[in-house]
Amino acid sequence: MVSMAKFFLEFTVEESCGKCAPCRIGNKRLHELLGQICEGKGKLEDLDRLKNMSLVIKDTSLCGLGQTSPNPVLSMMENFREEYLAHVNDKKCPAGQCKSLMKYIINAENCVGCTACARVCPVNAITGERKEVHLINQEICIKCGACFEKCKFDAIYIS
Amino acid sequence: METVKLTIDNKEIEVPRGTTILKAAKELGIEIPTLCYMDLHDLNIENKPGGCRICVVEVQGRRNLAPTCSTKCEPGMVVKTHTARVLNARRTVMEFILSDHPKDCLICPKSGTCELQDMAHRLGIREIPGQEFAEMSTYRKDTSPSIIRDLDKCIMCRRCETMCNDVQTVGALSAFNRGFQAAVGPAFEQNLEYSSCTYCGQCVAVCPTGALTEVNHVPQVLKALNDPTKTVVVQTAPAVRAALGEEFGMEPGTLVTGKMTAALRALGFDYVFDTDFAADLTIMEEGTELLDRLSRHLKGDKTARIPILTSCCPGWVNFFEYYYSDMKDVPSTAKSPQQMFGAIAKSYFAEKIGINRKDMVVVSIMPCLAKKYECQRDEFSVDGNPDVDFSISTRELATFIKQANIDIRNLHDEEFDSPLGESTGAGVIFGNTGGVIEAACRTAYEIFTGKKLERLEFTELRGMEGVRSATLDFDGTPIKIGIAHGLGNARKLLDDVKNGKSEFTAIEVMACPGGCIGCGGQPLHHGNSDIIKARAAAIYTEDRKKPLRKSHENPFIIKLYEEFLGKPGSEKSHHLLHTHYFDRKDKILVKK
Ligand code: SF4
Ligand code: SF4
Ligand code: SF4
Ligand code: SF4
Ligand code: SF4
Ligand code: SF4
Ligand code: FES
Repeated sequence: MVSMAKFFLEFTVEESCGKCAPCRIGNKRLHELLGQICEGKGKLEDLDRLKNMSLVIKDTSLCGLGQTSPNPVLSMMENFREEYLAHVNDKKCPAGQCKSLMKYIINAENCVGCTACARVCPVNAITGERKEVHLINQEICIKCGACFEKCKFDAIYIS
Repeated sequence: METVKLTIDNKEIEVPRGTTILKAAKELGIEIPTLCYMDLHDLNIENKPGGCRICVVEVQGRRNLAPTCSTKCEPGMVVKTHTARVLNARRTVMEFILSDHPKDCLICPKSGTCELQDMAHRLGIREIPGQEFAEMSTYRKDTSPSIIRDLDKCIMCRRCETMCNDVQTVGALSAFNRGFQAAVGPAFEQNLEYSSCTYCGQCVAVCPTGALTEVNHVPQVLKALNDPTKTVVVQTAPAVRAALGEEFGMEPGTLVTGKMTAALRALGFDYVFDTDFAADLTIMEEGTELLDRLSRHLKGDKTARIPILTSCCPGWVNFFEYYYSDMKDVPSTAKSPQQMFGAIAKSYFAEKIGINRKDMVVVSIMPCLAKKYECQRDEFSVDGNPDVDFSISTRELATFIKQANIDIRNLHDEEFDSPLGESTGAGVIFGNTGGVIEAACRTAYEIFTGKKLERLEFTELRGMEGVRSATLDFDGTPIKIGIAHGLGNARKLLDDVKNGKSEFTAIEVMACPGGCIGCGGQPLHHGNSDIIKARAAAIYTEDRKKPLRKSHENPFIIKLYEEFLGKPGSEKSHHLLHTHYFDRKDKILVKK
């Protein structure tokens, strides 16, 4: 949901005409702060800032675009407060959408060593001999999810 | 008049319908902060894009906050200007604006006179949350002969656009790009030098930040002053003496002619002269040209074009060279006083003191940014040596004086040097709109009629109306005078001339609203047109104090003609004091 709010804002930042300051700059800052939270760099007070910025942008923008643009952020903070807190406190993305907060991990018990994941990985992050348990190098992994899709044995899970 | 009653901060007030909340609050003594808004009511100039949102207040029953600069009072409105919601919004918006602004105050030319800096101070901003990861919108710096654009410091208040497009009708500046990348500049993102810009400086005069500033020529002047092989001559324009004091905390309208002269001498200039002398000279040349054209015209000579247009304002010259280049033969060919001064200083005066023109440096102190460009024009130099080497603004002079530890307030008045420092009241009033033509009429009347002018002050030519006209009686011959200040107003008169509908004998045009007293090189008026009016009054006071008030009575002008030029309009005068015009459209539309 956090990344969803961020996605909506991307649109506003694109569409803002730039005439008034709260929409021109405020939405950009809102978007940047959500980005920080998605990357697990959020602090608890950032949630208050997020809310304050959203309310002020709504309260002061010149036209309908700016007056409604922070709505997704506000409603998601309202309805998914737990999820926001998880991002900030536990550095976790419960929805698995915020890439830098998640990891793809191979469950050794399910992995049969079919090599399908290693072959599909665009950055060669997966190592392992045929018929042996494979391993994802988290340093290299770009979280594209290709292996997760490919694996027929449910051996890959998201953390 | 229909009125509305409303309450602001629990105080009741009744105002004419159509009044904004901002103005109503002001009447109650409540100063709501504004940033983008600008109101020069005496000049009929208003900028209210509603862009900064600093001026917001709470209006009972309204969903969101209301920008007071652009919200009209309604009957029964209940307005609160300092609730927690309002103060928080104002601060947050200010933090947004500052988060996209370089923190360059220590080295910014606007520091100390910057409205954004003042606002940050007024709102008590101490930190900008999120600055560490805030991206800044940025744009290439653009330096032209007169003006520097540093858009990183632009807050998109759009005042420059209002001045350039609505007031000046030059159309050199407009907004481009969207959202966070929005910026203001010439079409096709050209540099200013390759646009229709006239260097009138009106955008610089109103820019609240350091986004638009003048090119600084003080270092070159300092270098010349320290060069023992150079004789450095300075001239000061009429409008400077009526405004320089403001930079030192004096009341607007304080005349500092004598102190300014003393300060210039203390700075080390070898000769402190006055552009007013050259203004008197301009009157001799322009006045003669006017009378010559007029009498030929009255005799039915079709080549004698009437009206004659004044040509002493380089901003205006740039404008007609761009927009009316097909009318190049209408303006007077007389150079501006700045250039006349340079030409005479480096010929007549250089000869007098026995030096080569190459060893003389002429500096001019001007209210004007267009003069920076003007003195760099090729036609105003001899073998690559310019008649006027450097033109610095009133503001630059003030900084220079401060740098040199000169306490101008406590200097004793001093007189200009002779001979190029002697002038009449007619030369002084060049600084005001209507002044050039009034000065010209004082002389033209006496030459044309052969009679003594009894009433010197042509008050019918004075005032702040954008376009004015008056018919003067030259002993039976009606002389119709048109006056425009601000280029948009000039355009109105020019279109008539172009279509052959103009009834005027002569038209004075000044590019800057108010004339030179209101130009972009002057101390900033911060949207207060009372300051411009006070300067105008000071100029007229200086005129009244002068023993001689008609240019042709200036004994040093008479001597200059006797010793050197012959008579007005002579071949030598033409060579030194007259110019020709170009089609600037051709000249500037070179790709960047
Ligand atoms: S709120 Fe409207 S006017 Fe203001 S920048 Fe956004 S789109 Fe433009
Ligand atoms: S998520 Fe993509 S990059 Fe990461 S291991 Fe699987 S396939 Fe490779
Ligand atoms: S424009 Fe104003 S606020 Fe910005 S750096 Fe310059 S002085 Fe400071
Ligand atoms: S100097 Fe005058 S003409 Fe040039 S951009 Fe500024 S306002 Fe426009
Ligand atoms: S350049 Fe100056 S006057 Fe123009 S929009 Fe920017 S801040 Fe305002
Ligand atoms: S009105 Fe005066 S200050 Fe303004 S551009 Fe013309 S000459 Fe310069
Ligand atoms: S001053 Fe009212 S919106 Fe800028």
